[in-house]
Amino acid sequence: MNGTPRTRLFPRTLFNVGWRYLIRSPWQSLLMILGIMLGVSVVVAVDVANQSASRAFDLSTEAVAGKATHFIAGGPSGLDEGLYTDLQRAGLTHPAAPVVADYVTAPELGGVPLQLLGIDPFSDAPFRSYLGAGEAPLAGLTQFLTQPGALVLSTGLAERYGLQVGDALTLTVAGQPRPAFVAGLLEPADDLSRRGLEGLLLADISTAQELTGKLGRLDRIDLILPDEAAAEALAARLPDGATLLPVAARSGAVEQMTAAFRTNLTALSLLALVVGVFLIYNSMTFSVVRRRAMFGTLRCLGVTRGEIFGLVVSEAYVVGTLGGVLGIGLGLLLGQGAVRLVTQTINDLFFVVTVQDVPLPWGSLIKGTLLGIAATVTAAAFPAWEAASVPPREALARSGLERKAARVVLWVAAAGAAMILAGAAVLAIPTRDLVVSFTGTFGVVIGCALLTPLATRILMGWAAALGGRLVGVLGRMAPREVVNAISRTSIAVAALMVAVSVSIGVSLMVGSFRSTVVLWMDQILQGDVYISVPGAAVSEMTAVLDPRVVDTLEDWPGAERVDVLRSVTVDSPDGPIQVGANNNPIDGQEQVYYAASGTPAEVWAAVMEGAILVSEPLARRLGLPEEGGTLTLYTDHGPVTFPVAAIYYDYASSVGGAILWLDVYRQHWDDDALTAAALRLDPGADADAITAELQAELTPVQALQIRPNRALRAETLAIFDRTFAITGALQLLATLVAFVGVLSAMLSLQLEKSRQLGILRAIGLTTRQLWGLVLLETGLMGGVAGLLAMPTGYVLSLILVYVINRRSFGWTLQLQLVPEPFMQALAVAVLAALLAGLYPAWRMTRRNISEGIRFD
Amino acid sequence: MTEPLIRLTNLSKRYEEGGQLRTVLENARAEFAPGEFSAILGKSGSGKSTLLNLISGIDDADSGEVWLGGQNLLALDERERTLFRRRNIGFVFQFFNLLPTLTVLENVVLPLELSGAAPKAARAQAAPLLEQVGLADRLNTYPDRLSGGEQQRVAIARALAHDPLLVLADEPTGNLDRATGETVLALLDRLTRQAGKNLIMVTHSQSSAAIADTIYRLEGGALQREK
Repeated sequence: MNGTPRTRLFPRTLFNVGWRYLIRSPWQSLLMILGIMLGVSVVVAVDVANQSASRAFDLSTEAVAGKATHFIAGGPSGLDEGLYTDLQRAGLTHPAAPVVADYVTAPELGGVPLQLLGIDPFSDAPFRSYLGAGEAPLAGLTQFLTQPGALVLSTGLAERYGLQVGDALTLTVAGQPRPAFVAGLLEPADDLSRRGLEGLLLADISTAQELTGKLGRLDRIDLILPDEAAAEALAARLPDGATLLPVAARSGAVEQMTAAFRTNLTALSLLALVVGVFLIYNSMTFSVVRRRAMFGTLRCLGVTRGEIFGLVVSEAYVVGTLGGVLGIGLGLLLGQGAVRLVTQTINDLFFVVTVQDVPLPWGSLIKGTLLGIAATVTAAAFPAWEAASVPPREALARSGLERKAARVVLWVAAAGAAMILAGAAVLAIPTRDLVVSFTGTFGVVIGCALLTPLATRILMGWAAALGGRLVGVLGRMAPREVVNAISRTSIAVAALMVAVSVSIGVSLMVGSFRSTVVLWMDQILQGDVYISVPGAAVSEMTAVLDPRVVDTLEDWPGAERVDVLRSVTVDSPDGPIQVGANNNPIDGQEQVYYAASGTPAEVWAAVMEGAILVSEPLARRLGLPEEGGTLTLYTDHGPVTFPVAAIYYDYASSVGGAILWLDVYRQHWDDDALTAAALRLDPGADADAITAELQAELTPVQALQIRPNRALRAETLAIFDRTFAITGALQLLATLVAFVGVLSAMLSLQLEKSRQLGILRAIGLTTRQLWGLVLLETGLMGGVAGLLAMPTGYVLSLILVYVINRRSFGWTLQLQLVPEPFMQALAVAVLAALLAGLYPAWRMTRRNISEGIRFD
Repeated sequence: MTEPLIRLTNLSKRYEEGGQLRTVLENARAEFAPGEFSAILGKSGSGKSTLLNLISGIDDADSGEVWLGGQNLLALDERERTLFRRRNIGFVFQFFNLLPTLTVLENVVLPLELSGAAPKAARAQAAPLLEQVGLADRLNTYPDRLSGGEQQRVAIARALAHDPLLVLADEPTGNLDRATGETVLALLDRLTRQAGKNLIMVTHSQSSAAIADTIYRLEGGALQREK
């Protein structure tokens, strides 16, 4: 008897069995690779976009804040520059530097928002290293200090726009053109500094004051304080209106604002990968089923279960690696587009961020590769276990897996029901943690997917009865074929169902969101013509109207009333808060309330007396009670706690804002400036004509955005649609992955049935009937996927509207149940399945009949 | 008297079919001497393949023992049985069961590599065997390019490649025409005898069984020696 030989870990010839199968089944292998590639690419693209925007923000924050630990902030009108000298004179020993900062644009610099940073070169060295000794020599310091409009920019920024020292620039600051020029170039010391300086224009502080119209004012004083004791001591010495804040408080709050947005995108991108996992699972199951006899032979030859498992998993590993690597390439390409969309949304909704280039995101690349491999290997684990665990005797019987699958359908459905309940329980946990919320959502969606095999079996039973009556034997045959291969067809149906249900869920959510916003705008946009100063970005709407503009408006013929608004960002113990102060006497009646202590008239009366209105997102973020809450803001005269009169719906921003009566605002802040105005016209006045007349009259005074009500609504909806553009793209990609899944499943199924189809052809089935049979089968699968996607998509929309949106952004939406997304989804599912059946049907009809019969 | 290489003791096996138990083997007994060629005759469904499955350890008996080279196969766990099979048993199937993704040479190399041979040595060992079965010029051909007879000749080479104690053949001529079947059977007989191996072949063909040293008939779950 042969003794125990020296066994090799994985014989080379056994490895050949695996990889040659991949090569000899090129279509299946390509589709598997394509599926995982698309899934990974979506994740990488979103990750690249999120990381780039986040990194750009961090770098610009670092570049602007430098080594500062704290800063002294004033109200919306800033600090008196005398405070800086007062502090120096009073013996401030810690490093301090005055700063003036604003967002500007310039046509010579691509029109993108850039931060103008006004600094004092003599006190700035401890803070920002790019002006430090020798590290980044500054050419033309004298010019920088003495000449009006002198700016310094990084060599990278200058090269990007072909600028040289001496070139003229026209900055747009608060709607006003300001002449400037390139006085010098900064050579960043390293790559990080380079990217940090990409969005920055440096100026001497007096130049910045002139350019921004902040003569005698500072936006902040940066400080490096050794400890909290020093901070407390300094804070005690500050006058009213000046607040000492840690740097982290502002940047942390800003970072938090976009966290929900980024998490939502990541979750949606992961859905595409989940659909990809279904695809891999399906393809690997197919490959295992097709090779049962081969695995049986291998087991007879003495190949162990572990080796069979390893063989199948190693095939998956090869597919996962290839798909992952290709997915990364595609992801980087898609990422360029995604960066644009994500940056646009952040600029629209949150804060100004400039992403000039997308650095090679190694973290995203590694994450994408690992996800691709992990997803594939995980998806292949069960088929591999299946291949390995069947005894050789059973492995020689082809129908073993299907018999087993038929037995476990009920158990799978029970597991699905349990998963839905578990997902619902997780969603019921009262938390704002989005990871928990998405875990619950995934639980519900995957639970619904697990119900698919049972539902497919039931629906196919009905289809067989109906098909038999309508078409005869062939009509019965197609649904039975689907049931006979339930272990594989149900996975393809489930993958398509998940993708289509996501499409329904997201469409319903976006549609509901849009209609909620339209209704909300109808209520709050009561003015006829709106006037504001174009900011560097939509989220940066604090630029000031020229007082002459307001005077002109008040006397304008046809204007019944002018409502004015001061929109500012003020600091609070909970970070910066957007405050809108207006003088609209009936604004209380024009808001829609989530919670109010009294009638709208009573609420507004309270606001006129000094109370504040808080937006729903802000109330949720701060955890304010529905009634009796308070909000503390740092005013020019110290911290003031305002009673909250009501919580209003606000879909303009997820950051959250508050509304004050203008007179109350001016009592607390020494700021007479105005940000926007709304004209109420006499009945019958032509808003378009007045808009045109105002533009002609006011443009010489200040560059303004003057829009009739209708145009403002259209622009708001355009921003809304822009925000969801990336969502639509991700949805489409998930459906594409599902389509690849169904195509792969159909191709494998039909190949497996070559012999049977050959027999049918031999006994007289025409090519037309064969086309009909194959397409009926795929169409039925698509139909089932579409039908099952309807309730799943509806449940998903409920979760998105009432849980995810509320927890992510604090918005309450009114769910609009319309039939279109359901009909579209059914059509997409059936169409995708029919398209997926075209190639297999074509292939089968082209196949030689005798060859088909011989095929085994 | 020579000690038997293979001994089956009171082997019983039942299957459940449609809620009823069907007895395939009932206290089957047999002994096979070293180097012996034995045929097991029986009608379709008589349990011939089940018996072969039990002898190779790819199925479990309800009771009884299968002794092979001093080892009771049924006392081993699944992995031990697999490794035992890897080293000591060669298979020839009715439908050839060659691995479609491996070439002719690689199909024969695989059992050698599984038994621990280095790839180069395995190839050196496999090539002469393929020459013996008349396929020296088809080493790099894939199985789907071969005729049924050629495929079965590869299967014979594969079954003998790793120098097993026992070769099991399940209707090796069942899927071949008569002339080819006779050629293949003669080859199988010659090579196993030449290598001094035991061969147990199940068949329903009296003429195929005729060339065996001993013949058993499987009927009603019991094994009866006829020759």
